[in-house]
Amino acid sequence: MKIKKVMTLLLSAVVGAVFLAGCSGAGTQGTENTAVSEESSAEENGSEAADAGDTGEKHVNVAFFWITPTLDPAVDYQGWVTCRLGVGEALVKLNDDLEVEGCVADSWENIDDTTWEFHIRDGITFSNGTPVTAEAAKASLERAIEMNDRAAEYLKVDMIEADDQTLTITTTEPNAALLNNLVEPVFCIIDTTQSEESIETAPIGTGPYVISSFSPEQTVELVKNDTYWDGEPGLDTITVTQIADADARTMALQSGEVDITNTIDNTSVTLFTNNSDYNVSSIISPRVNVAYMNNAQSSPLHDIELRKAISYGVNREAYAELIGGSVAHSAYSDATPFGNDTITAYTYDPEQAVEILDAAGYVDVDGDGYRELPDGSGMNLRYLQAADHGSADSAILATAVQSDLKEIGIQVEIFSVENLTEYQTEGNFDFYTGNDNSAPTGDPQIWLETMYTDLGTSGKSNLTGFQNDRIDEIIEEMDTAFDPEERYALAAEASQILNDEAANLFLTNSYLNMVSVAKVKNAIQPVADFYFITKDITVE
Amino acid sequence: MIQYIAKRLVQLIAVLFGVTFLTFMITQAAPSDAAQMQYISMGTIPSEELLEQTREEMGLNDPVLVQYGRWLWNVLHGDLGTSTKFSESVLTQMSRKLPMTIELAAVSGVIMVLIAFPLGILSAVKKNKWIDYLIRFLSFFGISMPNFWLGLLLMYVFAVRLGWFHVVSTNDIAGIVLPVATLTIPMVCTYVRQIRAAVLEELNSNYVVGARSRGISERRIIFGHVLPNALLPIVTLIGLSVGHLLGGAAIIETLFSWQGIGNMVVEAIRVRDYPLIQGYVIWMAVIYVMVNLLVDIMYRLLDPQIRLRKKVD
Amino acid sequence: MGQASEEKGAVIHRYKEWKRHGRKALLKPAMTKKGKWLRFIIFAILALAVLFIAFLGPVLAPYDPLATDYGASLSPPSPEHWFGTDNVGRDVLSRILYGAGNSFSLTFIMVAAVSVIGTLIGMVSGYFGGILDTIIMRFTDILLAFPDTVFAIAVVGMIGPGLLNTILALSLVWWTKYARLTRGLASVMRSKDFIIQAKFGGVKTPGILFRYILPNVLPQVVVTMTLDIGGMMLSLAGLSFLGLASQPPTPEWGYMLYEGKSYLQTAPWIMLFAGLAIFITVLVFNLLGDSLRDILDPKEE
Repeated sequence: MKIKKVMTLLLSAVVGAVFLAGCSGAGTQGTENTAVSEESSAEENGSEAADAGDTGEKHVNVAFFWITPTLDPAVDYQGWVTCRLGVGEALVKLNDDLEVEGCVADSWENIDDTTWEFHIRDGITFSNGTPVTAEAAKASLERAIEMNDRAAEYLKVDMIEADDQTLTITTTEPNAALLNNLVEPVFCIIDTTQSEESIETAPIGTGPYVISSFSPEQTVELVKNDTYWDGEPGLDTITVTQIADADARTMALQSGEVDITNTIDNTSVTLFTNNSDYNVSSIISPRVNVAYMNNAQSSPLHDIELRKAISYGVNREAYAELIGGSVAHSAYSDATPFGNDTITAYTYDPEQAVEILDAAGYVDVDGDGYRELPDGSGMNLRYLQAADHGSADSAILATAVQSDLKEIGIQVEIFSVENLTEYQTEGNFDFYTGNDNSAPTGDPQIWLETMYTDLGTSGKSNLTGFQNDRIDEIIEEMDTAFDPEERYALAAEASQILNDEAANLFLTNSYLNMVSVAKVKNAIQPVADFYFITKDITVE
Repeated sequence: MIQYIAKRLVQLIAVLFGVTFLTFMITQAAPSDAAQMQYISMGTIPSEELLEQTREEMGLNDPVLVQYGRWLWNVLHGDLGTSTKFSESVLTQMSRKLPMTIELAAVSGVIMVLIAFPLGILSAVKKNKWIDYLIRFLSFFGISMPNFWLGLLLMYVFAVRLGWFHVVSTNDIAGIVLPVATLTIPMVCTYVRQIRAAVLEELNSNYVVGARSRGISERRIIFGHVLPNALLPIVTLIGLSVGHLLGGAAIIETLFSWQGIGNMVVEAIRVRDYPLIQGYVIWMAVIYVMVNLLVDIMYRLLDPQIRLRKKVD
Repeated sequence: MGQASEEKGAVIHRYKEWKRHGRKALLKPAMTKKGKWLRFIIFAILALAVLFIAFLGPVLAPYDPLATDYGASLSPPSPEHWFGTDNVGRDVLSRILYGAGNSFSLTFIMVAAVSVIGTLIGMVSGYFGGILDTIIMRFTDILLAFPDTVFAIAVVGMIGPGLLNTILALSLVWWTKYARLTRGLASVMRSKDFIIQAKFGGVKTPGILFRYILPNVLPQVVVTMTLDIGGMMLSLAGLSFLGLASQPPTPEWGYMLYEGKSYLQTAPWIMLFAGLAIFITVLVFNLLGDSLRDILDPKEE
């Protein structure tokens, strides 16, 4: 009998524990509704910081939204991760005004239309101590060009020559974008004398940190590069973890698992702003939220009048409030120096929109509240929406555009798709969502060429069927426009044409946010988002 | 016994054959074929002629059965193709991530058994007492809750507010508690009810009534006779629970950033990585079928009665 | 002496046992039966209330579930918006009410479809037996080799996300459950006297299936269906949560959870109320199914 009683007691204790756990979860959640308090999480972080301080070693935990299967910078876009880790550096880099600065190379000269000469920094070494000579840089660049089509297109290299610390690149045709394109992380200078296997798991670069261990798509452990050319890095060790989900990154920051992370949704950032336990660094990024419009014959949006009406009919200011960021003026983000201030942009003007629609013959014939096409047949526009890195922004924008266009009598149906590319290539859309980097290398040409022309080999992302003779000319002029100011002026002209043609719905320039706990110093979100960990980040 | 195992193995092979066929056929239902996907993953729009040429090269114009045969041949040689998303072989991806999922499922399975067993037995033994009502009532809560909802609440309370455990799951204790809890709680609630039913059935059987009337103590009846017999249906339940553990892992792994194959396949679906999805399905089916075969064999070993009954039939 | 006391003990024990069981035997069945019905009626009323809300949702909803109000986005529960608003300022209460209709009709259609198909196949398979039975059962073996969520995920993965595809994917495996259940019952029944008599009496095969076998398998099927409403709703919500099922801006509970996830901390009401809606509905139907089983299937007692 006794045994039975003891057992009963024990078992009821277990039940109690399990279900109390469940209940207290629900209970606390309930109170959160009314009382918003951040004290408890703040305390957590305080104690974490103290713990870390005791060891004497300067260590931080960083969360990336993406860690690649290997770290070989020449494969796909993996170089972006190698570069964010502070392991790989290219010959040149972008500053926060998206201007080119020296890095592995400290000076360069544009000898003629097809010849560039770079001087590799004297005394610079790879993190394993091997000097970086022009020969080593040449080997690294040639490896990238051989392994990656994008790299080949960016440079259009004819020949690379190395002489001591002087690297000479000859191109097959004038390529004024070459200098900017060299900042692309695919061109990270790595020690190619390493075995291919070790390049995959621990490439040796010139950056402030060195990989000490790597588990694919999960974690990277970094240690300080003692021989870093640009001064002593601020931390001894860093653990970088992949957390793909934006909400999980937010919560990991609050729970103290992570000290620094970025790409956090704007709504979640409010949890950290005005809170002395965290540092928030927000910048307008070169990314533009665009609702691409199908300019091809197959879509009703082929009609420029309809596109113009739609462009007047969306409330960009409200969207910028909703998801954070600034109102987009045109194809290029305000973060770029391409003269957005000279452009006439669309403003929210539903009356104007209605006027245009009425004049062009889009009227509601059957009285269902939605306008029909001028020929009287129904119009229901397909809007393809795809989530980007787990962010809710594209869904919010799609819903908002749909709702605004309903106001001016245009019917839009949203399709949430994961395989956007398939629909795009089939041309099976009227709108599709985009959150695109308008100046991936700080130069206006690539973006314009790939999205708005069918020129060259890189012109294959022009899925909206846009075509404009002047834009095609501008691209050709850009090939030989070596003066940055001249390029910017050309970019501004193109921007204006895209607005005049109402090519697409340029909605907002998005924010990029980096949040760190208070003990971390100098965790600043770079404008070019292939940078993240810098030598300056440190802890108190 | 050996004969039985041999027979089951033959059946198993037939089922697995069916599994591969079905998996292959699902791919055929996809809107884009492998040739299109190849270009799409490179971001190009291929011309119709180019597409046709690629199809010819990839053997996509052959009869479906020929394609299936070729594919099966590769699969049997361990070649599940190359993941378009991760640009590495499906096998590499799977072998990296499968251990993580198995770890999560195994820990959850053990904990599930450790909690569900005593509770189910207690509930049956104390039938219609307050403790039974309490257990049954709470178990309804557990099975009616969306598990991801529970997971988010647990994450918010125990990781974000209290900081006891981790939001992002790792192999250490702090990282595994929440995903295991989220996976386990609804299952415990399901199985408590089924274990209770199994024990009750034994309690009502003739031999228990006989034993009672002979004055054998209730304790001896339960621990000496009822539990060993009730073990049989419970073993089957455990076999079935493997399916829940593996399937449920997809949602839980996504929620807790657990780098297992559940998380992988959700990502694979996002980017339409067909070879990876195929690899996932086949592996899951193989594991599930194998576990259930083991369970069946165990069942046989545990219960000589079944063999006898079969012979009488 | 030892023997005497042991005997005495046994007698007392038997007396106690008789008292315990005898009393139960006298009182329990009537009580339990009444209690069972009472329980069933209570849960049936609750379930009807949930259904009522679901179908009157559009009438009861205070706002258009699709109407956005940017100025009022993410506002907490208030007299104007009882359940608060979501990320584009839509009224959460209205979306839950409209969503009830969507979530329910989908679940019902699915449960109805799989149970009808599964039951028919199961009956035919069990009644005829032989090679047809073997083929059907081996086929279900293959389908059952996939854990059900796994299979649904795979099918959706291949044919693409979307509500219809998700329903299709779930139904593809789910019918096997009904087929196996009815097949077992039907194969036992086919050798029963009343069936054989009916056969000799000239009743044709469809007649036997529908007039004699169906009524006998129906109680079990109905119990399973009721319990499956909850199960289906959770599965659907799970796939919605992975972003595989619903399309915005359709109000559907699982998708609302998916959308609300990002606002767990900044606007917890979205997730809380949508989750509660699913939880309460599933709970009510589970309790209803359980009480129905107690009445129709007295084996457990």
